[in-house]
Amino acid sequence: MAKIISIHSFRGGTGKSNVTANVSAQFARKGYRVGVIDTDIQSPGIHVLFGLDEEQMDKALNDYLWGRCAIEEAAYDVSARVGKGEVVLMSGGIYLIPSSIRAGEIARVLREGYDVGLLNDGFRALIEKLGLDYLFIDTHPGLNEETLLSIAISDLLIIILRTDQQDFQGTAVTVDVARKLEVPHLYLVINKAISSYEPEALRHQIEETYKAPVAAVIPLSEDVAALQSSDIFSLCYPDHPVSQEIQHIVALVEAA
Amino acid sequence: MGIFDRIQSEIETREKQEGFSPADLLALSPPLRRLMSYIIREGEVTAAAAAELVQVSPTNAQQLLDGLVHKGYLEREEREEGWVYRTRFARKRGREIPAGIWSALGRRTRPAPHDRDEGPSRDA
Repeated sequence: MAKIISIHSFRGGTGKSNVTANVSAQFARKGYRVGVIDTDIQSPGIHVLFGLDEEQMDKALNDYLWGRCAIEEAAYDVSARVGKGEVVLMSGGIYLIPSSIRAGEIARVLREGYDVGLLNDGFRALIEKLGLDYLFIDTHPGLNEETLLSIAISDLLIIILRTDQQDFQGTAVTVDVARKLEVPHLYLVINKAISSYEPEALRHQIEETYKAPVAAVIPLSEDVAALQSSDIFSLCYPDHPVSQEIQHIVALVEAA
Repeated sequence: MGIFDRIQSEIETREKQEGFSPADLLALSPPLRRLMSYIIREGEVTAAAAAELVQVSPTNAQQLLDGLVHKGYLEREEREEGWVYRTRFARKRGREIPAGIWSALGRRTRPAPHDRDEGPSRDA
């Protein structure tokens, strides 16, 4: 039975897409068939981490939402595109359903809206047509229709936050929503944690505050920034402390 | 008041809508929210499955589901095995954006090559 995992953050810039790409790639590396769908229709970006650019994206989620294609036709096998410079064996497969980066397509969604039911049907169709073990949903920050739908249908929700007061308040909102919607599994991930915080103390503090488990405390890293989203960090640098925290997330998600 | 009466009463007091929005989930009572979430998650539901989830008789479950159809939250379809209910989602509405913003964006707002002959006009 496939599992749906939503990755969300209340605010932008938390590294949500980066964590999604890294965790999903590690699942593919473990032999699972993985789908990643970018529902951040207003500000898509995860395709960059998987090495896709505008010219290579003949079809996108937008085309499915406008009835131009079946959703699986907007899925790209990106297994061979990631881990540049390293011999990475993707024994499973990873399929990305990007949102369009064309300004006209983004504008059309903003201007005309879309059929939310079609998006819900699309999630299930993807799992069936591509034979997925896991579907990862990269959500839009904050709360909107896509985000609430994603949370409602998820088996597991990962909320990303930074050590920032604005993130703390916003995370409380999302945790509250997740509890109302009775998401079976909820994990928090602290990203870009500054070195002056002791990771275990920070984990304890956050777990106490939200009464939810922290799956990882990912340190702020110049190495991640230096990669500039040009590849999947944990595939390129598997022994790095950031990659080790990604593996903690993978282990918890796999066990859930 | 039993669970059936409570959900029935809640459905009756709700406004009729042109479809259900995921945001509506947050305004429902926990038992009704659980039922709607289940239908969204599973894609569709029969009265028998709803009865098991809500812990009411299949006849009562069908009454609840038909009440949700009447309010515009669900739609139903008759199949060999009986009535099957699906969420009737409201379309996500577009936003009003100041006129001229698209033309100000210039050529980037042109439709994709395969889409030039379809759909409404793109620029304000």
